[in-house]
Amino acid sequence: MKKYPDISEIIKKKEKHRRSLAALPFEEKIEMVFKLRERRKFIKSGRATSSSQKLKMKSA
Amino acid sequence: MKETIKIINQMVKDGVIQEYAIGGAIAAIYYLEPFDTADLDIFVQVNATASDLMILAPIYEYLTEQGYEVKGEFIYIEGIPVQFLPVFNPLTEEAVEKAQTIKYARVTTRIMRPEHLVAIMLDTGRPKDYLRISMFLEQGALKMRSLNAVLKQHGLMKKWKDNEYRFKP
Repeated sequence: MKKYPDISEIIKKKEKHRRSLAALPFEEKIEMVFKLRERRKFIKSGRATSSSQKLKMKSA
Repeated sequence: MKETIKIINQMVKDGVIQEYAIGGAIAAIYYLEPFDTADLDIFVQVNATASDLMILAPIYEYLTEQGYEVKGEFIYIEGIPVQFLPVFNPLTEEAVEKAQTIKYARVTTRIMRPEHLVAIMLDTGRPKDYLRISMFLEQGALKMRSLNAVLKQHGLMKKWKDNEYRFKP
């Protein structure tokens, strides 16, 4: 039977990180939300470009 | 967001709204880890009574007169997309009344309590609401006793039991 690594330690650390994020001051969390929003815009713009590129490639 | 809150506080002073509380995702973030969200939901109590959304007209008039722009369902106040929602049932009314007063960058504001946020999410019942309820439970961000009292008060105990499997850690 194939052996898989135990990732429970990683999950524990992730959980700890989430809790530390939750404990940040509200202002800091809102700052992070705005950064996430910027990142989302950036990712979306990337997607739009690549899909239009795909269309161009298809029509070429 | 500080400047946005200042404008909303001014609306209370000017009598445009009676009382307000931050709800939705931004309020959830007060208690949880930050996550991506589009807007700031402001639940308002207004003096007028009407059964349609015309109840919000004075809010939009007040803000557009000050030069703030309406785009779709949002009004942009100091760069933040804000959605005003009138209290629409006894649960949201209680959530606004019992909201806690906090400071945001030294500006006073009101934010819904976790038990009300979770009850509203349960009542709304979209997949993202269940996901957020599970975040509240996982992170121990609310007192079950307070939640049970709100659920009982607003006839949501059965819905909680029926859907518990979706969000119980």
